[in-house]
Amino acid sequence: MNGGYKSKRSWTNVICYAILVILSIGTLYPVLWVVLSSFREGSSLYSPTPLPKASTLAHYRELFDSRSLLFTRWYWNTLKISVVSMILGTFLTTLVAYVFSRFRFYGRRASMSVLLSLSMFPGFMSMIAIYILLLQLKLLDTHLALILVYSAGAPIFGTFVSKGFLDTIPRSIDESARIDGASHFRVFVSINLPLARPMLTYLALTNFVGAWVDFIFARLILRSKEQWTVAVGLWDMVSSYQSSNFTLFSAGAVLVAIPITVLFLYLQRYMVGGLTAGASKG
Amino acid sequence: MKRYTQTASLLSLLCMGLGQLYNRQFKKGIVFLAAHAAGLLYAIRYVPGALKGLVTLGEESSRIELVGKIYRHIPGDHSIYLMIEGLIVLLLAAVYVFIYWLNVKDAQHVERMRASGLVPRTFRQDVRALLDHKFAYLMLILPGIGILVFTVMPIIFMILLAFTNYSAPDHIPPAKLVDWAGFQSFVDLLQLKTWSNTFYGILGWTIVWAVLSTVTTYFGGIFVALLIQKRGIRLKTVWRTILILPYAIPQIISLLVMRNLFNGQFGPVNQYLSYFGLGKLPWLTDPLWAKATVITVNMWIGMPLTMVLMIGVLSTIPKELYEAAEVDGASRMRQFRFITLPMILFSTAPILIIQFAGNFNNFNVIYLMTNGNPVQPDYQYAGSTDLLVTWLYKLTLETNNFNTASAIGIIIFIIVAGLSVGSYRRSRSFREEDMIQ
Amino acid sequence: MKKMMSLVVALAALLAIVACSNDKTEPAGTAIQTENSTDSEVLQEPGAELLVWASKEELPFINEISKQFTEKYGVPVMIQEVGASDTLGKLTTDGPAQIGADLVTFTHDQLGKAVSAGLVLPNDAWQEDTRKTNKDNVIQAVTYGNIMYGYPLSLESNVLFYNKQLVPEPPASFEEVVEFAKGFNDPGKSQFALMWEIENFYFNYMFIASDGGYVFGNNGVNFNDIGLNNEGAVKGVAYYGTLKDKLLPMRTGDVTYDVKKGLFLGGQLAMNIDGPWLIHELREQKDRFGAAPLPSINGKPAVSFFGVKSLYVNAYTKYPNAAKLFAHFASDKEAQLLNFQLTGAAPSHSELMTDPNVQKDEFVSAITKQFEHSQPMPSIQQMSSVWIPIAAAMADVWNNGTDAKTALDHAVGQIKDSISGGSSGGGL
Repeated sequence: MNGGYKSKRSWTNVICYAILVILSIGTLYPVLWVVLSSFREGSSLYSPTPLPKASTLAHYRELFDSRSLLFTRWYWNTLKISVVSMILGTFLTTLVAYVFSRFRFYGRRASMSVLLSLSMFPGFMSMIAIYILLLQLKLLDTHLALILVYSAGAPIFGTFVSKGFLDTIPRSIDESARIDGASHFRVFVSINLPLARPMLTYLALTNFVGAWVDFIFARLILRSKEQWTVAVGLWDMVSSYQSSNFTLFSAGAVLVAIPITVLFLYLQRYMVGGLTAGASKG
Repeated sequence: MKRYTQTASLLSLLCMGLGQLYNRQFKKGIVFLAAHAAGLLYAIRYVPGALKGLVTLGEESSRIELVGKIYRHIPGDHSIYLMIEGLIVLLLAAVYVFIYWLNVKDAQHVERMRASGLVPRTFRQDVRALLDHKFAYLMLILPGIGILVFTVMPIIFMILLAFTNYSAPDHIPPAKLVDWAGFQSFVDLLQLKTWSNTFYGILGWTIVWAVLSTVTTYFGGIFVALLIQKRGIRLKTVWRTILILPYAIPQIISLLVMRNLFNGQFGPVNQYLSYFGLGKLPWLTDPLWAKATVITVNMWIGMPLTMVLMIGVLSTIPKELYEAAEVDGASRMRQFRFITLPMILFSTAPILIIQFAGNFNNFNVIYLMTNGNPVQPDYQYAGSTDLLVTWLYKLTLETNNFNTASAIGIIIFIIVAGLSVGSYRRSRSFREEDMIQ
Repeated sequence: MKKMMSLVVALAALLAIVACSNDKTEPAGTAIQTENSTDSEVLQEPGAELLVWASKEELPFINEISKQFTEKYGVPVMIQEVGASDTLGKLTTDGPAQIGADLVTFTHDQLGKAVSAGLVLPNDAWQEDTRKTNKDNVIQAVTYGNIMYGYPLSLESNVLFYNKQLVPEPPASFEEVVEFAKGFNDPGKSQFALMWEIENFYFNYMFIASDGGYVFGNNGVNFNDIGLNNEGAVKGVAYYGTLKDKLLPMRTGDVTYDVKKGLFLGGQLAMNIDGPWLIHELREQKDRFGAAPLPSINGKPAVSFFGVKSLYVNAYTKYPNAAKLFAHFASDKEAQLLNFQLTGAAPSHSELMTDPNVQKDEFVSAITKQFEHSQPMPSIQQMSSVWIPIAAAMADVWNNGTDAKTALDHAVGQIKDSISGGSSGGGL
């Protein structure tokens, strides 16, 4: 009786493991493909054999040596933009989420609905308007402009999850601090923020990654090649017929994916906590 | 004690700050007065021009003129620039009017206080009050400005565009002027056969896509999370780490790779199928298959996030519930059906809404994976897998039909925002948000 | 905000200045007498400096010619790399914003868009010169609405690239290709005789046009006359449909640019119909790869689209005269020869088209020969209504074996609907 139960259970476990293995293969295969392509000779992704016949580091070398590619410069640009917009974007989002979570004021629910509906707006429809606005402000082709666009957009997408997280921190803690004479600002900085660390991690990570993957706004705002981010540079390698170079693209892709992946894996346990608590309250 | 006469409000209405001066609040009065002067100067200088530009959208376009044997370029009005400049000036004017209104309110309030014998706050107290009672508003100013400038202004601009004739080939500035055209683009979109066929076709597929892709990633994520969290499964961190990878890899990379993997003749997927003696499948070249493929690929990209989320949610479900159920002899299936699922659904409903909206406007997956292909002869500038949002992209950036694109954008916006705000307001987390406190 | 307003004021001031300067004499500058237009003096603005947008492939040439230009006229030239397919889009936004380059290069099929938006200046001062040194159909390509805009640099046309080890003698007709395929094709090893992008109308046009089909009548400007479903076109497309079994047993969407290039360079694809951009990859391996004109279709020489890559002057340039001078300088005979030597571009200059030294180059001579039988791509904007329906129709014939006439008639109906529904007025 007991044995039968056990064997049935181990059978289901075998099936579960099998499914997990299949899923993992499905997940890892494309990843591996990119990595292998980056060592492939020539400029075409297509190859008759799964493993390249001859492997080469030439594409990586080209990324750093080629004078027309400026890859190192793009990398540096991206790092700069992503770090600054991460800080600014996280700050603004936290402000909004905190206000919506902690204060009850006139127009609050209406503004929350408006904010939610703004996030439904197809972003690139605003491209023309943003281009002309930045042109008039003489900010086109500057990293500042891109940072502003990213940071200003951050609250629209991050507020809801963050507010949900902050809602789970009991308000009684704030209130007792207020009674002790702490200002709103103090309560926010020294009580709420430390408790909200998982949420901040999540926000920071998403804002940081945004700058690495966006090529639509970056292409619109950064007009000259010297100012580009890696995403624009990578897009440029494969977007046009005449110059498509998929292997070089793969090498660049690997270099972009490495820091993001490492950061993700390192921070994922914080994120699990941050997302969950946020999501469970919306 | 003074009598309440509304003098202060009237004075403030006449000129910002006068009411405050009348109320003997000199510092505040001077601040408002300065704001008034600045605003007035600005308004006199720019508002008429901006209004004119916005109404006429320019009077003379740029052109080339033959002088002797040489052509000269004569710059003229650029309708779109005029429109945006006008819009910005009007938005600033609205901010000014808002401050004006605050000023009148303040004057009225203070006069009323004085009339009833109360001592109005000093300037310093006012500032402190701002930091205290109005702290919420104060904190929202900075993000608010950002959102106003980079999101609200462009949205209004898009709405305005839908009521113009801004489209190729005949109305592209600077060579041509753009004019207001009323509801023409909406009428064309819904009535002209070439446009309406495409619109309804794509709308249908977009809805199917949004529902299916949300449901598949959601339940796929739950399934994977349950597998990993299942009792008796070892190496939980390893599985989780592997399966979260797709989320960490930029979509521009993974989607372009997928495109190659699924090539019908030369992609590895079909090559493996033929090793096993199976036929090759038209993953991306047959309209129906292509739709199935993009949904599958979207699962690959979207599941990890739901998985992480669900692992977290699962760990919050009290173990006692399951123990009690086991004592009652409930099967695993029943436990899932009556404990796990309701708990998950209950707590992640808002995320589900946001994901639905996100998928409705999912640009990357379609644009990078299929670019709308396979071709669909009955559509206007669109392919079989194009969503409204990618069609919009093609209409603006490739064929320059800005007015039609804006009309579509407005319709998308109304549908998605309506659905999501409606369901959000009805969700538990909106209505019962104070329960935890 | 203030900045923006000062900009508006500056713009207005500029407008006033320009308006005034119309009837005033030009400020003194270096007078450059041109050989032909002796009556019109083109004065190069003092202190002029130029910015040129060029694509990666053109850079070696543009760099060198700019150096020569600066040496000769003392005008500094800066160069920015802009991808060929991005140039017009970038000019559309940056031109009117006054931050665009003074000179840009693009292929003539985009001219309609550029002119309708008022982005480029006509080729006026040197038009006689350009007309004299280029063939009529080249001139026709860079002309829009009876005004010539472009300064032609080079010709682009599809040709048949082939692997010399696999195909000793390039086939002259599609029948020969099919014959070759019988012994060569091996789908299991991904080995094929010939590929072209079978879903892309740009490459498929040869089946429409070789026997008398065309896109728009009157040399591509009359959009009320569509010749995509006339008798010759139907015949050609029907033949195209039969090639699936004989030549390329796969669906249209499977032949992507990347796959095709990979197979060709890897030696599994014997022949590849492609544009001149492939030359940059093949130049180093001239003993392995060759090029020839397209094989004939149904006994008629294959007619394809050609494009003319030209320099254009931004309408918003601050130095129109200097820019025109550069455009002329960079497109004359010596410059085109230089372009050929540095980048392998096929010259459009009629003397160079017969120059034995230039035509010794296999790739260039293939393009020049193909050019004899090709037609300029239409540049009117109605062309954007054509691409998708016609590609879909031909894919339908290829994939599903639909009758050619039915498919083409349907596509032409779509195109007509789209042209009449998409715009209210005429294009020109």
